[in-house]
Amino acid sequence: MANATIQYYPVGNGDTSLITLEDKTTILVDCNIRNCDDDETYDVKKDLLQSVQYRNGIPYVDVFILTHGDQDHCRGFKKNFYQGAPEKYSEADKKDGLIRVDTMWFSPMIAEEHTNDDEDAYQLEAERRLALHRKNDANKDNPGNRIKIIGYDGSTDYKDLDYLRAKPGDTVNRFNDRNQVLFSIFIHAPFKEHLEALGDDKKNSTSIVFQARFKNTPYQQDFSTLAMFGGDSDHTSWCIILEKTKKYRNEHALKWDLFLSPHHCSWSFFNERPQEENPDPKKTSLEVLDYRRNNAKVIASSKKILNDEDNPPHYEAKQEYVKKVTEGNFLNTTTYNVVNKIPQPIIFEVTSQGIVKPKQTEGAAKVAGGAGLGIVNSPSKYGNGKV
Amino acid sequence: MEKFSDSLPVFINNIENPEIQDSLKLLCQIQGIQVKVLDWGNGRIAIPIEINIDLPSLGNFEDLDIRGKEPIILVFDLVNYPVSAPRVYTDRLDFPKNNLAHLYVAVNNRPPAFCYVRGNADEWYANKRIEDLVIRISNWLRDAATGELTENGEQYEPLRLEGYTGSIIYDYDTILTVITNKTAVEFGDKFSIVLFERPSSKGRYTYKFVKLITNKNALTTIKEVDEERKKDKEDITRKRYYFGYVLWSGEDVVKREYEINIPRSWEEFKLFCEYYNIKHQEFEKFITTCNKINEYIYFPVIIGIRRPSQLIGYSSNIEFINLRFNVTSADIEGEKIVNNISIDMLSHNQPLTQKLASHISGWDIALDSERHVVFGCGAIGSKIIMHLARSGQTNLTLIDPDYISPHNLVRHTLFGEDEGHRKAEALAEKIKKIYPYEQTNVTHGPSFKDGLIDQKSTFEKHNWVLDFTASEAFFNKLATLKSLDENKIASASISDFGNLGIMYKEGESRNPRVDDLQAYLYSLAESNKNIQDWLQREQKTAQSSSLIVQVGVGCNSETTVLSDDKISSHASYFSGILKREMTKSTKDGKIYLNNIIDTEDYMIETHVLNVKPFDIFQAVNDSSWTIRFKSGILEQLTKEFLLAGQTETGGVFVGVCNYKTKTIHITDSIKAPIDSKRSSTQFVRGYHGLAKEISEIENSSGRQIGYIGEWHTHPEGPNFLSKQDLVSVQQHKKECSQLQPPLPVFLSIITPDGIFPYVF
Repeated sequence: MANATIQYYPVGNGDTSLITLEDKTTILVDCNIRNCDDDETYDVKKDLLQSVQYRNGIPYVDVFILTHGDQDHCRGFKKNFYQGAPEKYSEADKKDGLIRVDTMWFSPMIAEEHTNDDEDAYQLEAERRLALHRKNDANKDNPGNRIKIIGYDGSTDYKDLDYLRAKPGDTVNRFNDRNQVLFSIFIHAPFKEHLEALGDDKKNSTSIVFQARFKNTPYQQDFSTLAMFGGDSDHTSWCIILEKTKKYRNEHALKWDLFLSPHHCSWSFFNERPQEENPDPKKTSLEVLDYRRNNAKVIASSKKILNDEDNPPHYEAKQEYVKKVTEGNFLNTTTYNVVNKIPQPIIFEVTSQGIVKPKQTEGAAKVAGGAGLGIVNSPSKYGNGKV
Repeated sequence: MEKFSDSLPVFINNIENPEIQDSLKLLCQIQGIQVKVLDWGNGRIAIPIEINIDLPSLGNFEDLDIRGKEPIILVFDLVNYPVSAPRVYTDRLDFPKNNLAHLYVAVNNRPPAFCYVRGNADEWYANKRIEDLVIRISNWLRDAATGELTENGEQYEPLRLEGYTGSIIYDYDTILTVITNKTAVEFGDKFSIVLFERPSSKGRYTYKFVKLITNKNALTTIKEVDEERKKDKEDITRKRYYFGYVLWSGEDVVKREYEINIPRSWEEFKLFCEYYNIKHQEFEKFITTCNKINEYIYFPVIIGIRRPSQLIGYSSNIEFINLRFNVTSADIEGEKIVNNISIDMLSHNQPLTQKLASHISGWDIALDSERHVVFGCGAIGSKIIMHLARSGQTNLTLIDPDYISPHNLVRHTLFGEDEGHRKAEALAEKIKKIYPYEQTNVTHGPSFKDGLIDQKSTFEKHNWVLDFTASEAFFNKLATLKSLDENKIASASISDFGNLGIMYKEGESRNPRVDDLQAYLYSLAESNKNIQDWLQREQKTAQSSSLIVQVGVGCNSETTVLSDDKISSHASYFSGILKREMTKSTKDGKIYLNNIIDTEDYMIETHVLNVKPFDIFQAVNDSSWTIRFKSGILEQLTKEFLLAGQTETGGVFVGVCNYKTKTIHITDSIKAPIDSKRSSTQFVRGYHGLAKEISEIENSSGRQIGYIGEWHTHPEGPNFLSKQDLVSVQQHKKECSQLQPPLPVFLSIITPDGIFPYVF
């Protein structure tokens, strides 16, 4: 079996991360699938269709975790993922490459109000599935109808579906109706406290935050890799996470080898914005970073980080990360690996010795062009005469 | 950092091999600098380069000292590149070679080379570029750092050695028993003797295991070896025996390190033994004082060393190092070897076992699998038998009275050396030679004599009975042989001038039986154009005036024109089916057709027909006759019976009768012609259109099938023939008995109690 991988797609300011386990189970964390009209955007959809598994010709992700409903975390959901009863998935849907979400992870606290169509679509689909479970429909446990409730309820009460729920402090090791021995997720947020939170950043602060834990053998004592995902969670969230996790003696859940910098390398992880007015990072945020393990890496899923006023990504935030992990271990999805002007995903493979870049792919002595070649898809002019 | 390449001189000659020039150019591009070209010696150049390795975040596996930048040396053969792939060495003198698998043991004071492909590097490189090799080495080092280099989990990768002078063939587990179970005499502490043989002086130096020397056989073996030594050296029956030695270390000495210098001389050997705590003194004393025991100056020595875990591909943690000593009397003084004699390495080959053969052929059969009997070791038979035997199935009883003739060699699996031998016996011998180190259970004979064939006990120990005799007589025998009632039966033959291979596989409890299947196949001619054409061709060839023509089967004549490849095509198809059936048998009867279409183009088509059990009856008046109805016919008759209500009705049967097996096969029923008359007491079968219908069936089946009898109903009984019926029988009999051959009169009546067949 191939090693598990973690893949951070280059999607500008936004998040799309794909976890692929040894058994090929895929877990997609957020999506920001943009149109690939220009020549400088990585085709995330095409990559996903090559990365996910197929059953009866239907592409599917095992789990979709939407950390929160901001546009840059769910862009393209409506267009690229199948919504509705899975038995009605049609040949036309197959042709369109609609990816079925076998199990949704849904936080009722997010997306309470309308903000964008993709978020609405996600919520609508979640509600469709929750209704099936509520009705105890015979199809409720079929792939494409499965759902897990993360955290606490908002205005709608799902107490009767508590068996579908995982709360902060819980460790999940069952994904899409299959138990995983080598992989689990520790849920940090959202908390009850978030319910009372107010203001513009409410959605951000109520992000699902979790630690993905990987092992390579069942008898391994420590984890091979720990990857932290936190949507757009801000410094107050992390302050609570730190406090609670310590309180319940779950320090192991704070450690990390990979840290997806919240809110696309925004200053909000370190303190209130604007940074000029709150230039000192909160102690608690810095403490979170100190839970890193050897050679840990911070991923900034954002535009190129320039020394300017922009936020996010925020140059000062990057500096704070670099202080902790060194420049070499701070990786920006836009600049990490650019091939023909197109940024490429950051991929790590999980080995028992920690994360490592995937093996380089060998070529061969024989070669032939494919239909996707630019040459094939554009006119080529020849001849001696003046054009 | 001190590098090995620092000690190499610069290569001063011109590089004329354009492929090397190209690859060097590419290496310069990859490295971004002009690479150095050094002289490796032996017509090779060495290119030192540095490659980047991505190391795992939590530190290297077992703290191996593998670095982010690793210097390596690529060595190109100036003449044979790129057919000969570059060898790649580490350029670090302090490379952690002792702890890594997939490294070749260093020789001639050079650093170890990477073993970067599992198979043949030259073959791999045939489809790769120099860039790919650099990537591969980088991935190799990355795997070493992440602990993923040993692909087979926690097992120990055996040493990779080079520079073998010959090979030694023995079963690892057999030699292992010398150490673990003391199955051989210990002539000293952890020191035993094994007899080897060199089968041929041609080809590579090869020793084959003969036997372990035990208390019981020691004296007889020495005598046996002496007898051979006495024979004339030119005598082709003279066997060349070698006493070889096995030495091993105690359980307390377990070594993990890969880097052991394989001893190349006597002095090195002694150091090697000391390192592994192997007592060489007694061994030395033995080979010096008993040096006359071996006729030849060369002899094999096997050293067993213990590894921390099980070796990949073997059953224990003991690794054998195989050496060849060269000791002359000049090297011996008293009980000492006084010269620093040279020692070579031998590569170990595991002998082929039936278990291994079955594994390699992807057919996992139990070793104590059931025995099968094969009748017919001709062209088809011999090939199928060898397919089974090469797949590890040697539990076979081969029966054939025939001898190999020169013309057989065109299509038989045997060779000229077997001319005049019995086919069955020669095949059994060949099978034994595939597995020379194992007991095979293959037996043979010309036939089951003295009524053995009729005894149940003969077949009790067999599961499958396979008929490749191409004999109609045996086919008939097979059909009715009662002693086979518990067996599974298949019969294969070739027809249609060798282009059609047919295999009949009987159903559960011998129903449908082989002859049922044959009748079934012929009955398909009515609806199947291919079968019709085939049977009509057969008829034309036979040019016989009799109704039933002999369908050509087999190729057992000198004049038969039929190529070996066609026979092989049929045989391989049938053998594939039989292997499946032997693993998991199917319930239904089956007919397998392998059709070679040899017209404008050469094509092969196969067809599988499933055949349901036949309905079987004994004739009411003469129980020696059996009537076998193709499935579905009785249902049809019952339907017609019910439909007619109180009125008598009837019809005509189509099929074939075999006097040899006293069997009538019914393959179809023709409804009463329209001019038939029916009443509650009488049925007069008309004949309008009947002749035409029968004639069509006759023609389409190439006269394999035709009119065979009649039936009518007694709606209210009785269950026997009426007076009127008997009168008709007499009339029919008059005509039928005049035929050549005569046709029995077959009449069935159907009553509410069932069907009652009569044969006269």
